[in-house]
Amino acid sequence: MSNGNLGDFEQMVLLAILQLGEDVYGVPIVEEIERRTDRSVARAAVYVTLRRLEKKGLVESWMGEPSEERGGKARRLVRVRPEGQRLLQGSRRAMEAMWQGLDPAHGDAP
Amino acid sequence: MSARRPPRGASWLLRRFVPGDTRDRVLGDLEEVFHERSRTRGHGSAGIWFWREAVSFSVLFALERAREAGVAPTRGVAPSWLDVKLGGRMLVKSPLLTLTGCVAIATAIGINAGFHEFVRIYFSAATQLESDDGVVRISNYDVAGGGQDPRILKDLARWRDGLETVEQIGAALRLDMGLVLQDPAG
Repeated sequence: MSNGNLGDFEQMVLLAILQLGEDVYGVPIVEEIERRTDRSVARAAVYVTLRRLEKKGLVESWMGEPSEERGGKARRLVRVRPEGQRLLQGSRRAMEAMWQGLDPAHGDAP
Repeated sequence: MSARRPPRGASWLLRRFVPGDTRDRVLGDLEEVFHERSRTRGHGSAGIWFWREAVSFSVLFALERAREAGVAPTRGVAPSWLDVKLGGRMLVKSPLLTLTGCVAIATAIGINAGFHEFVRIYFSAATQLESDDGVVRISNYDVAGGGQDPRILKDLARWRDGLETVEQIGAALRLDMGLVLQDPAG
């Protein structure tokens, strides 16, 4: 279980998993982040982050069914654990507190 | 479905560098995207993409392992660690440019080493001692001063060229070997 803060990219990966809902694994997570942020993402960085989040206990994973298209390998499906959701909410509250009093469009005081 | 497989070398690279607890996930996911790309963009393009991803995964997971092993970033090595990180990032973002740079540096080092070897073979003075390729230091012993008088090889060559009589030699030859070649008692 982690008591630490979440990095920006860790938040993106966790939010992508939550956005995708069911049957989430590495490939759609990468596509979801690229689609929503409109920028290219290093695929390897997503997998390194996923592994780190699992080690922190913020994400859990289990094996799906193997498929021929994947060379007989199964998909490893993931979902965010309650601890991960709690840290995400904490990060969001912290950012909102920092934005308070600023014009969100420009980052300047109104 | 395409029967073609991802490049073997790239798959080997992934198996070598991606940790066991993530390996199947990475290989399976990359293979899935590889087949999709083979269908839409052709097998050659998919192969190049797979190689690029294999290099990217290998570098990032090697850095991650180093971080987990505590090899990372202490204050004293921070600049060199930063170099490694930036190098890794460069390799991930522009692998061809990075590889071209590596080949250029390796070529320059090769030319430099070749030049030094050429000078050593054709212009350096030889000691005329047996097994002189094993000599690591030549020193003169100053009897009057009671200490060693360090000289360079050029001094020895000049001294040797100036010799005219046996009396002028006045030198002792001492060979310290690091290996016992023959049992002294035997």
